[in-house]
Amino acid sequence: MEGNQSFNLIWLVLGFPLFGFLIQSLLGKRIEKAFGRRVAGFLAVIPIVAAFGVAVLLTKQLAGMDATQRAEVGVVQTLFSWIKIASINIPFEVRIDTLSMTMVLIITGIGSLIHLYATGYMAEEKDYTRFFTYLNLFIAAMLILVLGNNLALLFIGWEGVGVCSYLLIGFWYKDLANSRAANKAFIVNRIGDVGLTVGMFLLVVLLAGNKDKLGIDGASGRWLSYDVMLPHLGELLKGNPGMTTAIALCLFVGACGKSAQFPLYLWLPDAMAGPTPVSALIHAATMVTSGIVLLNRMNIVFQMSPVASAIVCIVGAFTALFAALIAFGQTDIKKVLAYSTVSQLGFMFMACGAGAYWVGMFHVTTHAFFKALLFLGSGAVIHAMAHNQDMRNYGKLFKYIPITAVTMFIGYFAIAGIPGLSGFFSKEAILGYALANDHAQISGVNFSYIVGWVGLGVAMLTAFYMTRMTLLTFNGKTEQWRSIEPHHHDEHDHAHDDHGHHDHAHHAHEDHGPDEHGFFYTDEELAAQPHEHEHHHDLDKNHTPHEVPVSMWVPLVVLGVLSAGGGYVLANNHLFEHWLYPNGLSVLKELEEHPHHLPGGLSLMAYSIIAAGLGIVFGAIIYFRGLPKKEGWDESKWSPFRRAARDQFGYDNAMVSASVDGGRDLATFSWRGLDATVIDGAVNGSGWLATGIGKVLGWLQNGFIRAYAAGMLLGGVAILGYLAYALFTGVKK
Amino acid sequence: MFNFPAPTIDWVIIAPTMIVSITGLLALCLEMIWPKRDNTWIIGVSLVGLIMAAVSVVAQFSYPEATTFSDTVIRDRFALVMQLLLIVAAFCSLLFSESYLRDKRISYGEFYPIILWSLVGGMVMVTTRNMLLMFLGIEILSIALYVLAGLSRSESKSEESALKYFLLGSFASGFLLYGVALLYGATGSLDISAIASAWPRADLMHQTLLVFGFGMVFVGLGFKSAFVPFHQWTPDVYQGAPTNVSAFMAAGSKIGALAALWRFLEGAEGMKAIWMPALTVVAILTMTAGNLAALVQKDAKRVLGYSSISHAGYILVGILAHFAAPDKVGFGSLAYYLLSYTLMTVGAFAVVSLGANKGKEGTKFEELRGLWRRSPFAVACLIVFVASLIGIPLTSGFAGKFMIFGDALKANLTVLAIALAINSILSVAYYLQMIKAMFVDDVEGDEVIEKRPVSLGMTTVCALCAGGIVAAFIFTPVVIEFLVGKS
Amino acid sequence: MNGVPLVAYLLVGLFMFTIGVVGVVIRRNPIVIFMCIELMLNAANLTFLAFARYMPSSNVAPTGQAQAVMSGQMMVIFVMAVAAAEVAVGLGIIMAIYRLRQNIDIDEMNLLRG
Repeated sequence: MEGNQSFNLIWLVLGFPLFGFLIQSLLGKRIEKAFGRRVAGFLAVIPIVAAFGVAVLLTKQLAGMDATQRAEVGVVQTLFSWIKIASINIPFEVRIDTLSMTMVLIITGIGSLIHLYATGYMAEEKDYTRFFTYLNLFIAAMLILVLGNNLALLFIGWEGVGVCSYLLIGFWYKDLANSRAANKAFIVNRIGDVGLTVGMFLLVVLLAGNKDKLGIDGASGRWLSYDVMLPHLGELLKGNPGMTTAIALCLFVGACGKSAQFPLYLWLPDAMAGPTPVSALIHAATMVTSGIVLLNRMNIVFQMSPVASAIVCIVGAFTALFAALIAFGQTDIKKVLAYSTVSQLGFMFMACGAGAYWVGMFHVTTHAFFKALLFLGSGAVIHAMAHNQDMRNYGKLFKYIPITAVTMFIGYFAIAGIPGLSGFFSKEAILGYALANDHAQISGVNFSYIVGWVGLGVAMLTAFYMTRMTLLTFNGKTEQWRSIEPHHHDEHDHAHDDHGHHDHAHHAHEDHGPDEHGFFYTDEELAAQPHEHEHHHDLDKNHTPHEVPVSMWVPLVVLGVLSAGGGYVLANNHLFEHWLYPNGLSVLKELEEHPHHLPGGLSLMAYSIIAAGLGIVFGAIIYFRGLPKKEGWDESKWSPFRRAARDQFGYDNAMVSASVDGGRDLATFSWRGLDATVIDGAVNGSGWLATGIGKVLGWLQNGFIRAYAAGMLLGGVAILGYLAYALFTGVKK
Repeated sequence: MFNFPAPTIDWVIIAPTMIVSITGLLALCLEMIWPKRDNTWIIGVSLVGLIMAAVSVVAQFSYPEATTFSDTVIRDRFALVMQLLLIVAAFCSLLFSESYLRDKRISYGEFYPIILWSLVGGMVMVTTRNMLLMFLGIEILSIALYVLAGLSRSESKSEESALKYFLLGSFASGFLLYGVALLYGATGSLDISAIASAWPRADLMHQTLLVFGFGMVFVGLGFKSAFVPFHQWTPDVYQGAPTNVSAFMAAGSKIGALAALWRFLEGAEGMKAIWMPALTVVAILTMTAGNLAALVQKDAKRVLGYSSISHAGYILVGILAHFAAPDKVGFGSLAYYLLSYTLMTVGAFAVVSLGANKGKEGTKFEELRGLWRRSPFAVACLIVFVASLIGIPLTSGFAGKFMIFGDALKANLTVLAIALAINSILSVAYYLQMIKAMFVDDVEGDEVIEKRPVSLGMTTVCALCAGGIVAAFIFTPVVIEFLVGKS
Repeated sequence: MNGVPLVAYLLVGLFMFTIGVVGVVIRRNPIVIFMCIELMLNAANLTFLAFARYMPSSNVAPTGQAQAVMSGQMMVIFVMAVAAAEVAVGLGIIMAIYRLRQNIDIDEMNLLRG
């Protein structure tokens, strides 16, 4: 395969974004100053577009190969020898196969659209080039994640995207809440990373102990590379069911962290603090899908462990349901989308748990289209509404921003599961596989079937809350923002008197979430911080929304087309399935595609359509006329359910109190009780000892030549004396 | 009359040495033709000469092993690599010399030929197994350095360091020479490999000669390598000598001495049961004493002096690991460590040399305060050097130490491995002091730090060394393969 | 010459070497110290020559008797040359110090310490 020279181009795909990153970081400011923002932004978009172009070429070439070859073997390209210790050899190598190239296309394709969009969206921000520096670096890291041919490289990319995500969430770092959201994302992700690393180490242990028995490429030492490892892994895991489940669960913990699944989803809604293009790129289309990529890549481990698969299913379904419910209590447009992302990611995990890995990827793809579209659309709305994100200030926006509205409706129909649009195909495939198969079992209970029905319910809820969001934004009777009085600076103080709700408009993210507990700062520090909203212009009744510039609506239109037609094209003739898994799975060959006997004699498609339709109808009934009274600014009038949903059913609070307060108590104890007495004592003692000896040595170092000569002489005599002693007492040999 | 055939000479083997010597002569001629002018041409010629020498070394990598001058000069991978490292050390030291010497008002053109010839001495040391040539190499290297240490003639410290280095160095040479005499008496040859053949068939009388000869030669080489207890000159001389000379001394003369020690121990491998425990103790003492004494220092150059002592100890661990298990441990870690040591030490000295201004030089921590403001780039590079000296990942210092640690474990030298690990931790404290002085502490009162432009040479050497350190870490296997060849 | 055994030469050499070493440690004048170092070098030279002269044919390296004897003698010549070079440099340094401080007592020279 090494002879296949033209696949060398893959280095361009990796190299372009890195190059863009270097340009932006080293020369960005100067370019911006010398040629203006347009050029600087252009230089950030070009590398990603170029990478996309090369990726398309490579994919074409890959498509020309034999189906089995391209999906299961791929092409391995090695750049250099990276880690070489003892019998381990981990080169810096990439694997070009259908899975990685699919992701590469999504990352660079959606990535370039979002870059383009960002050139417009960020046009008035400070630190323009800093933003694109991070964005380009993010693309490069994500590409390493999906392309790497071993788990070590995957880990590099995994951490790389983590860092970029941290930097981007905290992009407006002068606002304390943003910095905290960034910290939270970083820390919660670390918890997932612990799982991933432990899983990797377990895998290494397992492989290291058995590689000679299996004869896995002992000579070159590349036994951690996918192409060497994966074909033998099934055989190896067969004999170690306990170990298999342990590895699978550890990897799944990692996936939960990155892909925001239940115990660890906390960071993603807070991550909406970043600029909207970031939300679209990272927290909807690319980074959060890396957990699914990991499961696909290591699917053999999950295939071998029904228990782990069942847990994946359960966690996925629960997350989908939980997040969908929370979405009802959100008033921030981006938060609604954030929870919908969490919920959709839950669907993907359901698919993977049921054994339909390709469907997971399929939903990743369609979701990338419509969720990027929705996020970018919401960004356009926010842009048009002077950076106010509260839906209660919107209404009747259709006529002001028609392009945005039309494209967003397409996205909304897609995610709601209107037949023919992309979301319908992938969601239906997920439910179909889940209901029809019994891979995910724990002691005979077929969880796959159960979560299939849960998924159907969540599909209805999805349609419902998406209807709520869309209608509140674009429809209704009144233009809500018309009732806001113009203020000067102290919006927060005055707002209390006449419009108590505005406080919520700006502090929505502080009513719950980490701040209460002072996640990283004490209350005093918080109080001392001026509330700077650099990016915040005031929204008041004199505001007239305007349609966004070309660079922003072009991506919307492209994504609208993809969201509408992408699903049909990919689902047609099992195109996507045969592209990823032409021969089915290695262990679970006999997966059913459609459930046979559903209650009521209806087909699944009918059920899905009914669910989507019900959701939309319910939503339309309640929200068609605009904001209902009992969902208004006075949150005490909200229904108890909605208030609970707003507060994430107390989960976030509980987690944060447990970790922050509990952690603080533990830390205080270990500081006062252990550190100050025992450890400090030992450290200071040894430090004192070392310094004391150092002083003695310094005293010996008195500067006199004769003393040094005497020292040498004594040392020499001692060595000679020892040598003579050793010789004469016969230590020899 | 006995037949005295002229030895056949393979000029290719000695080409690097010849190129450097001739470059030195050229530089001297230039200085004679245009005395008291700026030294640009001299530097140019010297640097070009060094690059040519380096090329002539690398070009020989693919050549087979060979000897010339009646087997006194040898070419093998080890000799070539060590020559290359020496050239790198000299090159980096030369790069920042001119601006430094000018700041110190001692920019004599003689500096360049002398340091080149000093380099020749080092190259002779590493390309031979003959004790006569080794002695000559050491003396050429040292005598040139004695002169350079006293280059700053109006400074008492510089002169004192020159005298110290000179007297103690000659004292050590006396030991070395007497040791060679004893070995000669026992083997009838000046070739180191003769020791290996003489040892198994020696009676007690000859064994005594060999062992004592070995011990005395070790004293001589140990002095040059700055092993405890022959180390005391090191901090004093590094502190007193002009900083660029200290840089070359720390890197160049140590590479020469350690390479010579390697060759010498190769010959004396047969009696390793006798010397191994002694050298183990020396290694532990060297690492520990260097680090402990550095803890209480207040002068950056002294800290680097002590740090070079402890690094010599680390390297000795690597050498001993090879001789404890010759078939498991090659010279890859040694060569890699020396490369990384060269880059980080020369780089660190280069940054410290920024303390010189208007004929004066302050290298105490309080005199280096706020250096960060004056030359941000150089001081930023210093962070890389210090990280590497400590052995923090992402730097070659880490990779090198890690490999030596691994070698020690492979060779079952557990005690040495543990001592190395403990010492790495100890060393963090004083390196951080240096960083703190330049970064965190600011000048007090109304003293204004003017941002002086940093010379191109200084910038280049900082960038080269820092880039080299990071690159050597990332491409560790590639670098090792380059150094030791495909195994 | 025949009457004098090898060991006598070696003992003289060792004696000279010891005097040199002790001298380095106890004397204060750098010139005298340097003379003591010369003594050490010459002790080594004497040892070389004695070994060369008494080189037994049994103990000869593969290179042959003539070369074995020659190499010892060559060594001596080179050592003498090196010693001369050291004198030149050493006296230069001592001169420079004398000019700087009008005093060459090494016990008053410990600016560099600690």
